[in-house]
Amino acid sequence: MVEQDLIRAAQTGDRDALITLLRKIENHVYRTAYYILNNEQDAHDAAQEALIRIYTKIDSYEEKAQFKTWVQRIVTNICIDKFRRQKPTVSIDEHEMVFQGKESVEREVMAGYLADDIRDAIEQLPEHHRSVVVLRYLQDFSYNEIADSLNLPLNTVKSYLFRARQQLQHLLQDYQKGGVSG
Amino acid sequence: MKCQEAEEWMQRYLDHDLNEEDRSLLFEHIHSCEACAEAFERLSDLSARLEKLPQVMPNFSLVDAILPQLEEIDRARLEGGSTAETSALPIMSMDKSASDEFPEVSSGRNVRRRSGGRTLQRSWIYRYGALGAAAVIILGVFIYQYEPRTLSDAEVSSALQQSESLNDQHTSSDSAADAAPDETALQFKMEDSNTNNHEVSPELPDQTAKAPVIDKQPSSTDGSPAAGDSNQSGNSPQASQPDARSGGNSASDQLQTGSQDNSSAGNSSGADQAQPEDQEAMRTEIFKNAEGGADSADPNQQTEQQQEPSDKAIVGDTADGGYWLTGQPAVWSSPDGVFEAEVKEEHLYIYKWESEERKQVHAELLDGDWVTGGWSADGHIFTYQTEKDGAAINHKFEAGKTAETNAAGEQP
Repeated sequence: MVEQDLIRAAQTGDRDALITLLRKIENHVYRTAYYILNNEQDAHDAAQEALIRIYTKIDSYEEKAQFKTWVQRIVTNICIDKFRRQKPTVSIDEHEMVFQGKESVEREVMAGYLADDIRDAIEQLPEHHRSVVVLRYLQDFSYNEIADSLNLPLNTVKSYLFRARQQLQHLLQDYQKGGVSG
Repeated sequence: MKCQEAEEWMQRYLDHDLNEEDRSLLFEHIHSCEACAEAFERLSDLSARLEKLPQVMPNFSLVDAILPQLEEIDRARLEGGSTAETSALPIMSMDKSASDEFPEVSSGRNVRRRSGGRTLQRSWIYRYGALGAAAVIILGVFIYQYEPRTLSDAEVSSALQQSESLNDQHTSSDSAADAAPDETALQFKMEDSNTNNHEVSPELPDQTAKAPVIDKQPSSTDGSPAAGDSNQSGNSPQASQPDARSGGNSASDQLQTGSQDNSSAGNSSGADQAQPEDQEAMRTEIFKNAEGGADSADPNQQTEQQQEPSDKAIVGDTADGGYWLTGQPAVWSSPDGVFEAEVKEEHLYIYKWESEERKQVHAELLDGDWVTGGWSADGHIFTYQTEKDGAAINHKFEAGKTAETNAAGEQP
């Protein structure tokens, strides 16, 4: 992980340290953005926006929190904002399994590769379920780290993750069968 | 272990959240339960696939791509110290106006992102601004509305009338309104109208959505329109005096101004204090007026303000110790609780409580418009004031007498 010294130096105004810090985290930032938004261009945009925000708000990071969760919080917030603005039809109700009806049909038709299946299935998840999966599997976060990043209670994180996995199973089964998902 | 529990434990196991002991229990169950064994296998497969998701990387160095913007931010900080991100991104030009080599637009993507950022920030600002404004308005309405008011259909309509006209033109109360609007009445208390409106609006289908400002102008011109009412009442913004129970139109006018004032004054309770009786009378009248003719007056302002209080005007206090019940006139109880004075439909009724039963001991037609009233400390004398032709008249009723003697007579 990133050393605390580098962070401290960055916070005290050492611009080189700050730039170095950004370079260390940029891939992590991009990765999360990519899997949440499932789109390269959007991921590039969101990641850059996140890096800029980290640059400007580095002083607001408090050492008692983990730097990586702080970083992931920023990028997931930006992605969720983008996601909401781009896909207004998706229900934001966190307690329901939401399927994007139209899009899932399109994706079914188009998704030929198995490799894309799972990415597309992830994209079908509601935003917070999706974020939890991404942080769990792309960032290897523990339940607590996910809870810190998304500012959710621990039990909610577990609940989202468990349901997300169940939902992904259903979606992938449907893809394999070639039927309508949901 | 039950299968449902096992299912949860499987998930936790995949997240390395089970201790050794629980792991053993879980596998014990899985070995003995075919359904769970199958479920576990599917879940494990999924998890493995998720673990294998490629660790994607950006196509180019993101940090390099944003360096120009970071420089702008630094420059902005040095120059102005405004919030770096916001100022740097959307307002960089402000800082760099002098320099031509403002590298803001380095690439299409950057521009887009900046615009996106700016738009994002602005949209958030607008969003929160709108919410904030709405919240302020609603609060204002509540504050204004905090005043009990009686509400009857007639009142409602008149109130609506009033409010409507209040906002725009005097149109609203044509039908019901009497020609002689009580200017002062129009000045009505915003609260009243507001309240009225609020209550009224839902009831008056013909009313425009916004409860018209209901100034307590009574629709029927019972009392003499007392231009001096407002003066009398001395109530600042609103002409609480319901003298002119006349048309909502004029009322509207007044209301308009009044409401404006009222809005600013915004304190129904304050107004209440000033003229509880007036308000009451006015309210009833306003409602009557409102019924008459709510035009399209569009008292947005008022409506909002009015909306609030009317909802709560179930029971409210008048300044002189009386109280309003929704749809009922003002009632004053004597300190000893033996007597009650009630103003209803331009009459004053005095009741006496005898073994939990209210018995009317006196009734009289009000000489003029109701202004205010109150019981004496010993609870036997009810003093009240009406206004007629611009002049205040004091009255006194001695409830001590068993009969309905109107002891004091009307003129002081």
